[in-house]
Amino acid sequence: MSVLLDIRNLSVNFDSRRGTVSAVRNVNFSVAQGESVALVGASGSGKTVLSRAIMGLVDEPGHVTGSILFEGEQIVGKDENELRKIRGLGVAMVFQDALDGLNPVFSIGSQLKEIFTVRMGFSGTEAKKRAVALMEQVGIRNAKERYHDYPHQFSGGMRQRICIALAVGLQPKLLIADEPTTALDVTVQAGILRLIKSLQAKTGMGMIFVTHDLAVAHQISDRIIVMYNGDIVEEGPTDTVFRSPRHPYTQALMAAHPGRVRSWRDLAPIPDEFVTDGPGEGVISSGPSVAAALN
Amino acid sequence: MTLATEKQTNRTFVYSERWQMFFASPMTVAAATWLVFVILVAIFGPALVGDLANKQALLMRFAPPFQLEKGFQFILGADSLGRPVLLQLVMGAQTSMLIAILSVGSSSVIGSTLGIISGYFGGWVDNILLRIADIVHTIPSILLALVVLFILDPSITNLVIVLGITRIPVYLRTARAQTAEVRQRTFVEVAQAMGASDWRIMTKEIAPVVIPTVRTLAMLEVASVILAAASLTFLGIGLQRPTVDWGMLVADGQAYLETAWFVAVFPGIVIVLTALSASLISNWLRAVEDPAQNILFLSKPKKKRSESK
Repeated sequence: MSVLLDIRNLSVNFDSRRGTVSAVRNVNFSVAQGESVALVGASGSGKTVLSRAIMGLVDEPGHVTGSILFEGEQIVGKDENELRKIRGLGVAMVFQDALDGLNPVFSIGSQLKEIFTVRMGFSGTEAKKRAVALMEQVGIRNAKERYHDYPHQFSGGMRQRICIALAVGLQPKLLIADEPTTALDVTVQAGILRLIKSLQAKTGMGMIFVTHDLAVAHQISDRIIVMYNGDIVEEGPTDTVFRSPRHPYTQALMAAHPGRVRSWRDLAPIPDEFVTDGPGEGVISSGPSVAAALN
Repeated sequence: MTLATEKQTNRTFVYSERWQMFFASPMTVAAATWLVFVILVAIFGPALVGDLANKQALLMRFAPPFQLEKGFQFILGADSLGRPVLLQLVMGAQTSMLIAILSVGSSSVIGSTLGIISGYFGGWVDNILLRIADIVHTIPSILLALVVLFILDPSITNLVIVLGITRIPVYLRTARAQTAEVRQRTFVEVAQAMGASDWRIMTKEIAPVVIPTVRTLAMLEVASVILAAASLTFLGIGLQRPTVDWGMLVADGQAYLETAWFVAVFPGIVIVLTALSASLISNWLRAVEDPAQNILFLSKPKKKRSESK
């Protein structure tokens, strides 16, 4: 498998009045074609900032340093016009807030159609045909009839399906799914995960699946990357990481997972020293020192 | 089943749905009828009326309204110089509508464009535009009008410019506030992640959400612009005869309010009706264009469906 995305020494810093906040620190990892990587970590660990950096969507006052190679092309420092060509066609993204992911004043169909007319230059009728096909592909029943419906007429799960359709519509090579199921209930979540997985298998795109749900990560990924406070603290094949986590933080995460215990009394909460409110605020700043602190 | 078949013929369905919503709201129908009538009068009236409107007939001074024997043009009475109120209203319709439409149109378009730019880009662009808006806002519009109209002729064009410029900040602030809120929403992020340009996001994602608000505001401003033009006339720096607008008629008539109420009251009623119609229509448009709200206007056919079950 060839390398699709290669990230080296990536840091994202935000300048603020109280000094620089490092949201992502010296991160290295890569994603191969057709590979599914789960990015897990607590809120504020830098998952979302990292995925936005890959899209080139880090705005002022954020600064990205290091290297992000997508199909050999450097993303860091690329100008906006060049980045726009990669977005959607090369790298696409599914966002967390499915309920607000579609413009409320346009019909579902017209929003789907738009990506084909604008990005691919298709004619109206051809684009419409594709949009309907896309709706069917993500499991919307009666796609033709629902084409003219508005977002508020769709349930949360259906809206997220449409958002996924938007993201995969142009057949991107890499899909970044940023907690796509957190706004949905568990039964809908299972359907969405199955959908994403089957789409990935069908199109052979690479995927970075951002989540804080270990069960979801386990279900969907080949490889797992654990982030803590802006650092990658553990990386490895999903099964291996689940069976024998090496890093203390990962171990603590696994111990806190309700799927592993019979009674909630056996749950081990994440130790206080791991709890942070945001980047740069952790008691323990980087990987090795976490281990040292626990030992 | 009927729902499905209805939706297959989507284009005609959408239009007939609009009409259905239109007729479901009698107030809107009345308001639209009145506005269409006023606009038709404004376009064709002055040409038909001709010189008759400004013809002075001292014998007719303060002729009372609702009496047909003096001729139909005196149905609404006559003013202090015997000019028929009805025909003055017809002449005034053109000027008032012209001033209202042009100044509200230009200030809302300019104001909301600047507001969307300001709210979208933020930073120094936002700061500069907002400070300029602050400055314009602090100048009392009457004072600015006094100065401008004193130096330049009190023509319709200058009136439009003065009334337009002083109202720009209102639209700018409204559009900016909503843009700043909308640009944080996920669908804008989605568009960005799909590779949409700033221009595209502003025109295709943000503007459609912001425009209904601005338009509602603009419709309400129609009334205040007509009244502002009237107050300028009242101060003697507005339009000069023979050009008349409704505000001028009210201003002229108010001196005789005790003896001849109709000279001021009829133009006043016309202004109120027009302003009210404008805001009723804007209200209806706002509701209809909001896909989540417009179902309210379709309550009647919905009722039938539940009855048949």
